Amino acid sequence: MTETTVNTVNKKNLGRRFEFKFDFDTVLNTFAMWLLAFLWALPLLYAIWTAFHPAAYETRFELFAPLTLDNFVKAWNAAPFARYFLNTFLLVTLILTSQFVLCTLAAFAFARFKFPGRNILFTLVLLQLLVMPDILIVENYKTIRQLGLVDTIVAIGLPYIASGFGIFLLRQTFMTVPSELDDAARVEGVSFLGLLLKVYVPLAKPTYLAYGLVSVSHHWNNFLWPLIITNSVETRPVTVGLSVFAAIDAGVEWSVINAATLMTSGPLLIAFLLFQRQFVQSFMRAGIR
Amino acid sequence: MIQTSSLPTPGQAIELAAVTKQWGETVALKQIDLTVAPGTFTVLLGPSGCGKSTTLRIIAGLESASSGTVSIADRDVTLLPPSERDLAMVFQSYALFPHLSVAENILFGLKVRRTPKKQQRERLLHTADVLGLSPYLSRKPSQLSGGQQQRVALGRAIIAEKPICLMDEPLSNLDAKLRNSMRMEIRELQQTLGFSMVYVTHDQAEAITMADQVVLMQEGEIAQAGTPREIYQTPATIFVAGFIGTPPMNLIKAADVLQATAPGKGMEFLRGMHDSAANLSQSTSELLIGIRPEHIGTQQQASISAKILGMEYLGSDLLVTCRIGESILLARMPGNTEIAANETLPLVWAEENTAWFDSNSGARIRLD
Repeated sequence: MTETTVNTVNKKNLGRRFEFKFDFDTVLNTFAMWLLAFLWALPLLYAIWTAFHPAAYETRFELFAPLTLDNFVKAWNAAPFARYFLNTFLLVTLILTSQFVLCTLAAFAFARFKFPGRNILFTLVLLQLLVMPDILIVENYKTIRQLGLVDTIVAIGLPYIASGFGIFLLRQTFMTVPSELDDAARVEGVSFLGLLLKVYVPLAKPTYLAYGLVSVSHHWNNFLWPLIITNSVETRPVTVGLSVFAAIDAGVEWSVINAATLMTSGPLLIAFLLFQRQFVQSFMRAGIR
Repeated sequence: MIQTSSLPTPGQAIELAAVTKQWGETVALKQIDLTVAPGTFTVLLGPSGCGKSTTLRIIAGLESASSGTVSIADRDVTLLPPSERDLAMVFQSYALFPHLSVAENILFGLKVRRTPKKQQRERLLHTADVLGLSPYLSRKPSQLSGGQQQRVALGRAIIAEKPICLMDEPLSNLDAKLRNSMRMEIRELQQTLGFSMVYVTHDQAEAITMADQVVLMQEGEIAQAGTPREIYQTPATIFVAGFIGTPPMNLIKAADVLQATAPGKGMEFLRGMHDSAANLSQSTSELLIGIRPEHIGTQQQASISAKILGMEYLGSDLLVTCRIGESILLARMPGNTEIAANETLPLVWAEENTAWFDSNSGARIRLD
């Protein structure tokens, strides 16, 4: 009698333990995920909290603290952010358009033309991926000075325009275009440029979108090079402007700084939310640059 | 309704002279000579890797010939790009542009050549009407079935009203039933529009039913070129004999047949034929007899005795596999023939259906 009870209990326990173990794993995973996500989001959450509340609540959490937009107004008036935004916008547009044009042409040549030295040239392009741009800062500065472009928006963008990553990414995409489409267009008498614009570019649209997002976010956030090459309000992008603004000697007003930070990263955050899927996919496919 | 585009396009002649193609060491085409008469339907037929697609791409100008000349309508086009050869092409995968609608796909070439808008529209409506694509003009290719995609590819080829149309296995991605009906349609289009067609396929049924001229290729060479009838009735080599026909021609050792033939029962002609064939071939190699399965009959008094190995009843036909000496052969007899299995089958066939081949050179020995 007792033996059988014990047996059934054991069996039950075994079953339950099995189930419990399975659950435990999931719970742990989920918990870790939430924890990490929370830690990652914490600075942003803090920035949002301080930016929308009066300075008194900088280090105090109170659910029903009064909301305010004063910080944004203050920040906007304290530094020429409108100008900084315009600079960044011009910079990002300049870089993106030039990258699209250059990378498209180069990638098309690498993908579809056979010319002597093609592989060596492509290897050189790939080597560019191995070189951290920050290493070249001094060298780039010298070149820009010789060109007489110091403290211009063009100078900020110039070192990034011939992007090895862009060429590589587009070349890979162009190579997946079926050669029969190429043949069909050639039979119809399309010129090479027409072929590129009418067949290859439309088919590579997702790649352009992904690459565009990566490029824009990268150059929107870029800090070190613009900091070095610019020294006036007329050329400074938002990142540099923000750091100049935040480096106040007398007392730090976190709420105003955070409002400014939110403001400068706002467009990027919105773009990220809009194109989330392509953004994540592009990173998964291609690494970061 | 629209007169402008219903005028037939006069076809143009195509001529390949000693065309060779090689990639490094590999020779894809060896000295191909080929003539396509204006307005006719030529099918390039052969197993995969025989060079038929390469030949087509050289005609199109998508590949360049290593040597030899290609001429269209007596004009040397060997060095011209595809667009200057005045031809249209349909690809195996249809090569539709996935980002363009059906209408834009069909109009692609006209737009590239900047044909007037009004004419584009008229021709588009006419072509769509002919191919039954009118309801789908605004769809994307991915929203169409395989057969409809095939029609769009056809539309893109015929809207240009070029004198030459090239097709590279256009039906191989369709199911059997659709393939049959498209076969008829393509043939009809070619006849009504009157262009010259060069069509590549590995399917002999397509070749036999559609072609004016069948060009059978083997390992970069033309094994035989002729009308479907010529190819079927008088195969020029062992390869042609063994490729054309389902099932293909039986090729059996002449020695086996002669040995199994009893004298005085209607097959005496074999001996005489053998002797003259042996004289003509002038080699010590073995002679082969070629006989189509449907030409073999059975008779009480027949003199070639064959051992039955198996039978396959197909309703209208009865396929009998039998053995003469060491050679296996297939006979196709009417479905109502009564044959007991494990029996010795007396076979008979007519003198005019007997073909002779030299097994070494593979060539046919012509006795007449």
